[in-house]
Amino acid sequence: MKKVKAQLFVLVVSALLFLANVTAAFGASCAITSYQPEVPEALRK
Amino acid sequence: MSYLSFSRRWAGYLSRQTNLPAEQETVLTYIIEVLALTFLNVFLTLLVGAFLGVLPGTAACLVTTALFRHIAGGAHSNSPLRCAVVTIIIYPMLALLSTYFNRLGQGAVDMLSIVAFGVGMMAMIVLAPVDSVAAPIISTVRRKKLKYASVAFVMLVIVATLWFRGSQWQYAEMVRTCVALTLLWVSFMLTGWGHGFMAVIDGISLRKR
Repeated sequence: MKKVKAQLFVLVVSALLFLANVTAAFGASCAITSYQPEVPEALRK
Repeated sequence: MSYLSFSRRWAGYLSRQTNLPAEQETVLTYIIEVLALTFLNVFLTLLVGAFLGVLPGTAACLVTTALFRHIAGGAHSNSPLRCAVVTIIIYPMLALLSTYFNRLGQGAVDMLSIVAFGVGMMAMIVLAPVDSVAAPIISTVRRKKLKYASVAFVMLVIVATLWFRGSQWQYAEMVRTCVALTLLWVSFMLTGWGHGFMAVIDGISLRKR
C-alpha cells in the first residue's frame, strides 16, 4: 500500500512537471486569468 | 519568486514525498498556482454566467480567451484577487452584451464579427505576443512562432464563426457574438490602453479610510 502511494505521488508530480513545461513552452501567458504567476527561470525560453 | 502560500505549501508537501530538488519544487509551485487559479476562475465565471442565464455564451467567451490569451499574452493584474474579480465580471458581461446584439438581428452580428476579425487580425499582426515581467519571452524564434500561432487562431475563429452562421443550433448566434466580443476584448488587452486599464484596477485602494 505504501509503495502504491509513493508511486502515485511520483506520477502526480511527473504529470504536473510535464504540464508546467508544456504551459511555459507553448504560451506567452497563463490561459484565461489576468494574473500571471512568475515563470521559474528553468522554464523561461 | 513570489507565490501564494497555498501553492507553496502543496508543492512543499509533494516535493517532500518525492524528494524533489529545490529547482523542481519551484516549477511545481508555479504549475499548482496556475492550475488552481485557472480552475477557480473558470468555475466562478461559469457560475455567474449560469446565474445570469448566459452559460453557453460565457463558456464560448472562456474558450475564445483560452485560445488567445495563452498564445498572444496581454495585460495582467498584479493581484490574483483583482484578476479573479475582472475575469468573473467581464466574461458573463460579454455574454450578456451578446444577447442585446442578437436582438438587433443577423446583420448586426455579421457587422460586429467583421469588425472584430479586422481588429483582432491587426492586433495579432502588430502587437502579439505581449509578454510580462513575470513571463518574459526570451527567444526571438519563439516570439515569431507565437505571433504566427496568434494569427492562425484568428483564422481558425473566422472559420468556426462561418460554420456557426450556417448552424441550426439554438445557441449558435449567441456563441458567434460572444466570440466576436471576446476577440475585441483580447485585442484590447494587447494594447497600451489594456495595460492602462489593468493599472487602474491594480491602483484601486481596497483599504477603508
